[in-house]
Amino acid sequence: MSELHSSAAHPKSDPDRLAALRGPLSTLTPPRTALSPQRSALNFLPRLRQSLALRLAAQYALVFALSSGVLFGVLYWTLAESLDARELAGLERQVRSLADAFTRGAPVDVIARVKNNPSPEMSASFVRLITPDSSTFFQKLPDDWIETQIKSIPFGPFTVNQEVRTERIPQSALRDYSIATYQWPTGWQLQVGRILDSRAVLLAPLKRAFALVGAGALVLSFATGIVLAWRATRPLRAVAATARRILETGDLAARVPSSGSRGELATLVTQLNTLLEKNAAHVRVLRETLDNLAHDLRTPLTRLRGTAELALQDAGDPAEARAALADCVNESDRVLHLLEVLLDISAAEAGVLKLNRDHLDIRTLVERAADLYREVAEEKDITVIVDQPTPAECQADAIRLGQAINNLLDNALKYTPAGGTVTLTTMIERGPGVALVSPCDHLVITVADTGPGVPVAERAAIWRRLYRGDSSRSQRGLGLGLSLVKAIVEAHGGTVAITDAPRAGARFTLRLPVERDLAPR
Amino acid sequence: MRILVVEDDSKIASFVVRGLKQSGYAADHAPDGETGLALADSTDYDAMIVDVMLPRLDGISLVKRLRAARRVTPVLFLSAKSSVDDRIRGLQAGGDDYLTKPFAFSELLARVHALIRRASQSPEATRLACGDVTLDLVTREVTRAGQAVDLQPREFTLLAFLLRHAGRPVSKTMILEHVWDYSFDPQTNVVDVVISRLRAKVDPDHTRLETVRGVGYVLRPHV
Repeated sequence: MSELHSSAAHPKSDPDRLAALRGPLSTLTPPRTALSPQRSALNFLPRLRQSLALRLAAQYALVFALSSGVLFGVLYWTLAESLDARELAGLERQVRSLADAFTRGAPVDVIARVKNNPSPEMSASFVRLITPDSSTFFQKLPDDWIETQIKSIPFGPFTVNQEVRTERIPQSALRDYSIATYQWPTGWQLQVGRILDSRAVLLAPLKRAFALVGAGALVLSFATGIVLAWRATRPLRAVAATARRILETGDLAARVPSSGSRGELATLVTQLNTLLEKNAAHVRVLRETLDNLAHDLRTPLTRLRGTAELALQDAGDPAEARAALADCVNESDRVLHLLEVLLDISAAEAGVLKLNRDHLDIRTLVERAADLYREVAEEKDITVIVDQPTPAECQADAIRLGQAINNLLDNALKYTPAGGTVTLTTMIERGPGVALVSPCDHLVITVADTGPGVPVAERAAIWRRLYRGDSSRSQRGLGLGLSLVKAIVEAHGGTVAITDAPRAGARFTLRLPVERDLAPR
Repeated sequence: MRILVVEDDSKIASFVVRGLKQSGYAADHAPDGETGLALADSTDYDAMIVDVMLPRLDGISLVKRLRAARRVTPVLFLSAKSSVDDRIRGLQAGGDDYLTKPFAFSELLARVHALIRRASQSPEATRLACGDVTLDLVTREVTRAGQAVDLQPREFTLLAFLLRHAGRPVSKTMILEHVWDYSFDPQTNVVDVVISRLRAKVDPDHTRLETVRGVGYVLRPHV
């Protein structure tokens, strides 16, 4: 016995082993490393350039600038064209009226008309009468025209026979000469020119105004864009910050603060938080499972070690050594089985137990269980009654649910005294409502025995893993059967309950939800 | 009889190979999937024991390639995974049987033996016997020391299974698989119950149906 005690004293070192077991988890959570100010400053510029908000705003501003530029260009061109057309038409009218005078009279009349016309239109005009031999017969310059500029105005003939030809002669960006030329068949030419100043007077200020207002609007829109995009992407930054926090500190409880708004990003935040919640739950279950496993395996392993140690010390009898070895093998099988069931329960509780759901009639599972235990029941002289009058179909994992039903039957047979009865029933329980099949329908499997029953005080505890009631200490088993039943049924979305059976004893009830379209018709 | 063991764990491989040789089989060992495939291609083995998780070429792919090359050598998969899915995956890939680690060597041996017998397709006798116990599969008559014994259907199936493996221990899992048609262990004592009933009927003096502790049961001729 002293060996057993000495090995039982080992658990002192267990926290270390547990820590070692948790190792892979701990390595996920390196100690927090604070970012130095220099590093964050260095990171700031590239990060700013990559900022989604800034890029969105810049792209938005670019599109704004391009589209308003195009809009203004079209406006400007249309306006300039129509202004030019008006001025040229005026010029043409003027040259025709002068030409009429020349046709009726002599060049002198034209000169007189030009000179005696005090209208501002005439005084701003350039008039030139050209002889057939291409020399200037008469020329009038407005006050603000420069002589040299006139030299560049070409003589005709541009057209033949009383045609009026208007010509733009570009001078500078804003001031163009516009020359209308009238030519007679005799070779004489009359030219009237004017400075087209509509651009200078109207279009240039327009352009300036546009440039100013446009630039202002651009800057404003860029700034507003940044602010709006910055605000809109706030949830994204919150997500990134939370992720960084979890990575840097390993704080699994960190959640993205909810902005209270609606929309895609708010959905993203909610879903991410749900994801984090689930992950944290999984990690928690994993840790708890490891803790429980370490705890649950300690007892059988201590026993195993004790047996082996004892056998090693009594080296004498080979038969005893063989018996000890066989005990070790049995004990290791037990440990292995314990491990598998515990893993199944943990997986089911954590919601990660893989269920291969099929559409099946639960009656076959119940019949199979009754068949499996037929001999056991016969040995104990227990009558097993299977009562399942109607089809009971639902979506379930045949193996897992079969395991649950087997365990319940096994449990019932264990506690029912000789001559007793175990009753298995299956039925569909109609939910409230007039519909033939309602979503509240449940498939109900009950296992009732005529054993001593379960005291009310113990009823909640029997589902706990490794719980063994006072009356069960004498029975074989691990204390995992009912926990596995509960875990499997709950993984199927169902519930388990224990009540008093009609004729003393205990009644276990499994209720599984039945999908609407799969219920029997 | 030549058996190929494809297993990367040298300890397991050496104890399997040693055990097979002790039981009268010739055994070769390949430490990885590619070596295993090369050996299986060049030699005509009577059976193969293949670990599912192997370096370079996993066991499932190895067997798939073997089957693609129309090699029908019976294959027993060894795996550390006990889930039904993995079992099904192994059998679908062309495996003939599946055993989960850790396993009893006697169970491995019994399974390999059954595989080889099934593959050699020797027509099964309708009469099985071991010592003074006989069983007729057609008339369903069972006798012990010349006396007729009346057996329940399940006891009959169990005795037939034990007779087929007479002299070799069979595990509870194998019994559940073949007598109850359970592909997983429901963890009950039903096997013990039926064994003890069978024992009361065909082995009242406890000389034939022996419990091998830690392994299972073995049927031996009465001496």
